[in-house]
Amino acid sequence: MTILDAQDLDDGTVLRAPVCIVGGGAAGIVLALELDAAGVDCLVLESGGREYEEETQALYRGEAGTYFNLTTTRLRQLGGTTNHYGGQSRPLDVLDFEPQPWRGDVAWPITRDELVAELPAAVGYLGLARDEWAVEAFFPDAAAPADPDLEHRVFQQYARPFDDAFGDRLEASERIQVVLHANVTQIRLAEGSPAVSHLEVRTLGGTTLRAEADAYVLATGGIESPRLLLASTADAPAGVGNSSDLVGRYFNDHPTIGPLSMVAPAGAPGPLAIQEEARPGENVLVVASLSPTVEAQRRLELPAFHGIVVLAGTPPTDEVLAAGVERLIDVGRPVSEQVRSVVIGIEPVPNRESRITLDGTRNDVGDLQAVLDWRLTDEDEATFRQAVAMVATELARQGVGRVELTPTMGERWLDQALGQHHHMGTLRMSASPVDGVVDGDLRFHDVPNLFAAGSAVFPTYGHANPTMNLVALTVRLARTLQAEVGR
Amino acid sequence: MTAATGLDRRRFLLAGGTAAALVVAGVGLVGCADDGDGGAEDGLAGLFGEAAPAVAAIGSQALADGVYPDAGAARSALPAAGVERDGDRIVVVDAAAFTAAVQEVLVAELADGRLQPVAGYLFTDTELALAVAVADDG
Repeated sequence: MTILDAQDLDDGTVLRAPVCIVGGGAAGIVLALELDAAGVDCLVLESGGREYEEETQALYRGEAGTYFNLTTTRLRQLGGTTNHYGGQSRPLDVLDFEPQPWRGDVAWPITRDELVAELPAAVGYLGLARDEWAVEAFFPDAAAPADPDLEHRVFQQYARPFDDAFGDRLEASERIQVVLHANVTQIRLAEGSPAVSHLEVRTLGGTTLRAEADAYVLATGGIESPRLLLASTADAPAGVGNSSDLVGRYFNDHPTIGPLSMVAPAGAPGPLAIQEEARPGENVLVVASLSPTVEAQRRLELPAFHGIVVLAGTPPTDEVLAAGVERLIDVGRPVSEQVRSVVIGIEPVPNRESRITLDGTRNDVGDLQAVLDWRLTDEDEATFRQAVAMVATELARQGVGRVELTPTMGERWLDQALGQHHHMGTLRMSASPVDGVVDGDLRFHDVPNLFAAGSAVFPTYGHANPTMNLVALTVRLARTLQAEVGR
Repeated sequence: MTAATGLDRRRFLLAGGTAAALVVAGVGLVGCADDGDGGAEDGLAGLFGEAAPAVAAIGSQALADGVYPDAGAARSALPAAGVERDGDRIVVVDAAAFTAAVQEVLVAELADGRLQPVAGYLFTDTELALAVAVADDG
């Protein structure tokens, strides 16, 4: 097959395959390639083309308050947001899968081992060095942090646009049919059945198409997937898959504070937790963060976090004061020319009221636009404060430098927090339909032939970047679908 | 302000156009006492050159925060090497010996993780004692 353009198809064309994937980003492409390898034909409906297009990107317009602009926090083209992401990767941690006091009874309906089993494949898709995450594997001589409640955690980083990496394989596949400029506008249910009967598809030029499959997979990201479900009211007044009123709820991102200015004395040692000096594995950057140990998290009931030193300079709030700090902490030494800062990212707690809804505005293909209300909590504020205190103390103890603590942050540190464009939680997994939208197989609880891929299904968020983890889950989903359509 | 301009400005402030500051940058504390901006030339403030007022501000904040009940308590917490007491003043007679003694204590304090926030930064007890003494020296 080749990659088709919906704009070249006749109005009313019906597209059909055993599996229909909505979205050609990281999850959609991986799923298609995995199904291809398993001998399952699939259709990939991608709204964009193979390059950035202003008109298509504008379909992402919406309201997001103080969050990022919704038209820039993701990319609507083949390869999706991998076309501009940084590629930082780390597996979700043990505690992310278990109920913890700081986040209530929320837990994954699958074990971490089930995710870990798919990591080798995910590492391969992302072009990372290897499926190893122990600090010793990359930094054999590294000393442990002075604070026994902290440890180093490894992140690997490699930016890989998925169309560049896999476009040729998509084109060459006999089983994958990619259709570009195909905007899904409604998910339609069969009459008298909870199952999806077909998808309504429309191009910006007005061509209407219909997609039919045995199984459907939403892989359009943590904002667009719930938006499409909530907007699909033709056969379900509250939206498809929304019988528990959970579609779009529990939206979260990884809040980050920084770069916080740091006063670094002359000759201060380079910390392990520093980005630019990390050791490469071929093209892969390897970074070790400062993070709490699992034991400390359990004992202190502390969500995960990481602190990473960056060489990008952030000027201190008060430069005269900072000069005084430098001389005071390094009395007797020359003045430093080092510029260091620190970035702190945390695991946020799930919040039902942090959510995506719709407003009454329609975009150029008639879709109702998304409204994103990202709400962090007092618990997140407390996590930030503890994380900054622990990381700043550790960096001081190592002689790396003194972090500027509060002057830039004011009363509520969360007011300074930014996300990382990690859209999670809006179709969260759960064992019971009461607690989530999809089950452990990523099947919608109330729509038997509809599945979700992507970080929207994460019921907890950890502190690690989501892409590698969602790719691993997608590899697992491919096996579920292989069994599903092969029945 | 960009990072680069911020740094340049700080360098300018630190250099201050004085030969004494250049000496500080090159060979450490020797000669700092000639910098007249930081208090009496033989006092603790002289150790910090043009940064002395900022150090004193940290010390004043530490006093306000109750880290030390008064300047006398802070002075008592400082090493005795290289200094002499002149009533309520500390006179630096051997800057190298004093700073070496301070550094030794700081290493131990940092190893123990004994730090507390004052004026937006974390400091050890001895660093704050030094700052309080400088504030009182002014």
